[in-house]
This record gives sequence, structure tokens and C-alpha cells, in this order.
Amino acid sequence: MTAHLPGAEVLELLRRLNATGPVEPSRVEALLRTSPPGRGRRDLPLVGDTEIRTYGPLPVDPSTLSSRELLRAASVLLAEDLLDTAETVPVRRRWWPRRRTRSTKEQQSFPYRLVGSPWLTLPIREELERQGRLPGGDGYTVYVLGGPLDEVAAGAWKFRTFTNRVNPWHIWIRDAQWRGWFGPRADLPRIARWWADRVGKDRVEIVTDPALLPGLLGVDSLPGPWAISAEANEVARVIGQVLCVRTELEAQRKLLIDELRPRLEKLEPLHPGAREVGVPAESFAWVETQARAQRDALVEAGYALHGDPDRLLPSGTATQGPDERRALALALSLLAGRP
Amino acid sequence: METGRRVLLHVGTPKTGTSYLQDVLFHNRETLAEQGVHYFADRFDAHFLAALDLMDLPWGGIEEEATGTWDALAEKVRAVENGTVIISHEILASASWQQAKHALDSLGDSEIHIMLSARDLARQIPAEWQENVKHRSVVTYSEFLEEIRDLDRAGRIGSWFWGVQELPDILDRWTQGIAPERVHLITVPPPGSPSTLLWERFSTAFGLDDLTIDFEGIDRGNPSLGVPEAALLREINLAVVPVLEPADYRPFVREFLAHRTLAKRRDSARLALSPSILPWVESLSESWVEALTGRGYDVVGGLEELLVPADLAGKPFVDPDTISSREVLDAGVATIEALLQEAIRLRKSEARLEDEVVELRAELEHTRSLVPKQRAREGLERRWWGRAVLRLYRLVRR
Repeated sequence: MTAHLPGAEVLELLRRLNATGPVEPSRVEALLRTSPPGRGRRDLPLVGDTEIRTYGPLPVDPSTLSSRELLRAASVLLAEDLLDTAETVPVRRRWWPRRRTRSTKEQQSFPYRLVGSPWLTLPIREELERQGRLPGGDGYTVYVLGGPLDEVAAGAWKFRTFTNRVNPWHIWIRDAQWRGWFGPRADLPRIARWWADRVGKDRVEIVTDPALLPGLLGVDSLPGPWAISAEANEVARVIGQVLCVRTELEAQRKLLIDELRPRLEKLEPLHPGAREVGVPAESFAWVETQARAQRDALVEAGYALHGDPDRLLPSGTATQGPDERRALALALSLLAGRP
Repeated sequence: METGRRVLLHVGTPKTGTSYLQDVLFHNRETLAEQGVHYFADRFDAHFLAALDLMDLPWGGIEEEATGTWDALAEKVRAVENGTVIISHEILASASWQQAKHALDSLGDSEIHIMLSARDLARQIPAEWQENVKHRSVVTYSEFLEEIRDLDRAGRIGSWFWGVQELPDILDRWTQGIAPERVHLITVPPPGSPSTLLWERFSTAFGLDDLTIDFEGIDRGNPSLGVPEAALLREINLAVVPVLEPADYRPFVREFLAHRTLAKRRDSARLALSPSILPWVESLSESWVEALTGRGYDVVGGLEELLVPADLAGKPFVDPDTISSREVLDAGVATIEALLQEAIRLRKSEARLEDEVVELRAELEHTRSLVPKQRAREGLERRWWGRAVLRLYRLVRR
């Protein structure tokens, strides 16, 4: 066997990992056994390597490698760590335990189905089901939970980072603009129409103000979206790129949502500078046009509205994608076994 | 200690007749197994899936079917006590050193041979651009050339291109101490060579010469497009990629439009190397041949065939980025004609299926009408008095 020097991207990742604190030799070996997955350059030679080749990638100074490349290099071991937990944690069919209870008074009084951007609705549905408030029931009302379209679109991307394979945010938003559509999870008129065709328009109601939702559902309060930054989404996304090949989709979702998400939530406060995912300035006008069209379609369709329909227009509160340096810092903490 | 198992691991490169070889192996896998040559594949793309699995490589959603396929393939290989096993997929060329190591380790105590088929860059560069366009890309030819000339190889196109085409580097990653006489470099013959010559080289290198092989119905593989056809396909991509899912793009655009329609037009200009990069490609090819010379590999064909053909400089070059609209329109009209023919075929098929549905519904209704009668008869036959009634009924009917 010929001697092999690992690629600069793996060595630099290891150097950064060592800088976070003592690292077990087994972790070092595990990392050196990996290489960046999928497409993209790798096995990069080091500047100063004495082996001269007239071909292959140019030698690099590892300290100049981008955080994006290092995060990609980290993704295989991070995915393998999650897969290891799958072998010890019994697999549940659902993401959360569904408590079967007798029909409660609230359930009889407020039969519901909650739809819309899953990034917003999933935590609420989880909580309601934990309380025994299952969706459905006699004559249930369908609540379509909406919000500023830039946030709803970001939510569609964020949800996919934990549930499927998805492009980086800046490419996703660029492609959405090229396609002229954010996709089904951010198309509220389409969601409302789908339900209206099944249960009748009079049972579909649009909620643009989430503060009104507890009253509509007969509860005191409801949770907001998961406390996950843009960078944590990016970490989940790159791990998902590996998991989508290594395991089937349901297991991937379970690993990312049940195992990775709580760890990321604990890490968030340790790394200041968290960003929210936002639409870049160059796409804002297009998003605004889309949002006006959605608002007008919902108003013209005559659904009952809870909240000002102008709340569907973009908020512009965030205008950036993930900070790749912070995403790498989160990944290094995960690699180092923290928390 | 090696066993009597020999593994021929064909790791690339794309656009070198690999699809044809794989088609021959797949369709003859049972006959070949009887002759001691194993090609373990339960579907045509089995080794493609195994390669995706090995390299953690997502591929338009199909990777969901790849989970665990490399290790499953390797397990089958290790179970062979005596004989030859062939594994072949061109995207293996892009494997990293560690991924190649995992692959080689997983094959156990086999006598491993690395097989690499290769073609000169003057044909590979245009072919790779076409391949990009056939995979939903809207990159222009000039943008593609710019990407592959980027020394940093930081982009998707450049990193992939060199990953699967840079012959000395691919062999460095895959050989990992394997003796040079067990490394086989099969060169694609130059243009104008007999059409059977490439197969003869494959057959020699893979030890298939004396085996019984049925070539009936084997697809000739991945046909190339002319310049106007490739330009048209890129324009089509601009329109359809945003709205077509990969699962729909594959059968309708790549298979029907590109392979079965546009590739059939053989009179249009073929895409060639842009003259502006010819000197660079010549110099690069020479450096590769120099790097490979003296390594002691078994070369089937000749290393000199990897150089840019000497007569290329004088040949006309038709640029797909600036080709006349008239020529693209001609290809477009031919495409519309093919689509209309396909629509007519589908309409006839739909009408035939509708007739079948009507017939089947009538049969179903008839069968349903028989069910109450049958149940009544079975009920009567279970009772003594019922049987008597039935006998009486049959007497009366006579």
C-alpha cells in the first residue's frame, strides 16, 4: 500500500477540531477515514508537499479553505454519528407519540385541522396531539396558517433541511425565482383550494396572525417554530445530503428531527451571532409580487380571515442566508461531542 | 493470500463505450456466470446505484434506491470462490482516495484488477458538455470551457469533470499499491477506426474473447448529438427544467427527445473542441501521456491515442453558442414532428385502453350479476331440502 496523505480539507478540519479541545484518538481516526461526499473537489494536496505532480488539483494552503468546504468534509462523520444513534434508539413509527384519548370537551368544541407551512404548523400540531387534541372530528375547520411570504418561504426551505434533500438557501431561492414558484409548502392559495375542494370553502379559514390561533383552537398558548438558526439548518442540510444515500427517508427525518435538532438547540446559545434565513435584497421585489398575488387570491376566494391579509406581505426582517463560519462552528461542536 | 477470485473493477471513464459494455454484460449475465464470469446485477443500473452508495453521491432522487448497495455487491463478490467478477461503472472514476480504499478493502482477498477505459480530451470535452446538457444543465459551451479551465476547480462542473476525466489522478486514487500489470488502460480508437475495434479491446481486456455472448438486441449505448440539436436541447432546458421534476425529465427529455429523436439526426455538424483551447488541451494531453508512460500498466490500444489528433486544427468548428437560429429551428421542427407522432401513438394507445376498460367493465358487471345466483345455489346445496329444490329446478329447465 502506498503512503497516503489525507486531503487538505480533512486535515484542516481536524486542525480546527483539535483547536476546540482534546479529541479522542478514535475520533481522529474516524475523521481521517472519511472524505467529502458527493460532488465537489477533494483530496486536495498541500502547498509544500514534496511530491510533485503535473496533474491533479492545485496544492492549497489549508487555512484558506472556505467554511463551506470544511463543513462538507465534516458531514460524513456527523451523519455516521447520527446513524450510530439509530442502532441504539428504538425506531418509533411517528416523530412524536400520539396519545389516544377519549374525545375531550375542547376537541368536540374546536374540531380542527391545521395546515400551511409545516415549519410553523408542525410544532403546534405536535403540541396539540400531546394534549390529546387530535386533528379531525365532526365538522372540523381547516385553519391555513400563513404569514409574511418571505418567512413562509424560508420556512419551506428550513423544513426541508430536516426532512429531505435540498439545495443551499441561496440556490434554492434563485431556483424558486427562476421557476416562478416557491413550491407547494409556501403556496397558501393552493393549500386552501385543495382543502376547500374536499370540505367546502366555508370550513376553510385563513389565519395570518398566529396570536389568534390559540383562541380559535381553544387553548391558552401554542409553541412557535423550533428555536433553530439559519446555520443549524445548514448543518442539518449537509448531513441530510449524506443521510439521503445512507438511509431511507423516514429514518433520515427521524434522525434529523429527533436526534440532531435537540442537540443543535442546545448548541445555539454557545455560538453567538445566529441568523434568521431571509430573502436576499435582489429577490425581494419578486417575493413581494408573489405575496400580493397570494393575498389577493385568498381575499377574492372569500375565505374567512383571521388577521390582516396584509400580514401575508413580506416582512423583510431577515435578508441573509446562513453564516457559513458559524455553521462550521456548530458542526465542530457536534464533532467534538458537545453537548 | 489471494483466492481464486479475480475482480475486474472498471472505474471509468464516462463517454468511452461503457454503457455498451455494461449492456452486453447485463444481458448475458446468466450465460457468463455459467462460464465463470459473474456480473452481479438484478437491474441494469445496479452498479450505478452501488457507486452512488460508495461515494455518498445524491443523484436526482435515485440515491434513495442506493442505500447499502455497494456493501451488498461486495458481499456477493466475496462469496465467489473461483472465477471472475466484473464491476463496472464510469462514475467510480470520481471516487476519492478513501472511497476507493473502502471499495478495494470490501472486495476481500480478491485478485483485483483496475480497468480504465479512456478517450482523448479533444473528444471528451465536447462530450462532457453535451452530457451536462442532457442532465438538465443550461450552461453554455463557453461557460463550460471556462469552468473546466478554472485552476481551482471550485465549481461543480470543473470538480466533476476533472474527477472523472483526469486519467493519471484517477489511477493514483484507484491503484493504491495494486501491481501495474493488474492495471489495464483501454484506449478508445481514433475516429475512422472500424466500429468493432473498441469492443474487441474491451473483450480482450476483460477476458471475454473465448466466451459465448449474445449480442442480439444490445443497445449501442449513449448516442451523441449534433451541434444544433445540443443547442436546441439547452434552450429546451431553459424552459422546462424549472417545471419538470427529474423523474419526468429522464424519460421525456433525455430519453425521448435527446436519445430517440435528436440523436437520430446524423447529418448535422458534430461538436468539436473549440480552437481557442486547442493548444492548452494538446499540452495537457501530452503531460498526461508522459505521466502514464513508464508506469508499466497493461495498455490495450495505445497511449498515443490519448493525444489530440494531429488533423483537428484544420477542421471546421461550429459553435453551439452562436449557431444560426435557422439550424436550431430545423432541429426544432423535427422535434415537433416527433412529438406529434408520439402524441398520435399515445392517443391510439389511449383509445385502445379505453375500449379495454369498457370491455372489462362489462365483464365485471356480468360477473357481479352471477354472484347472487352462485351464492343462492351454494346455500341450497348445503341443505337437504335445498338440494331437492335444485334437482326439481334442473328437471323443469330440461
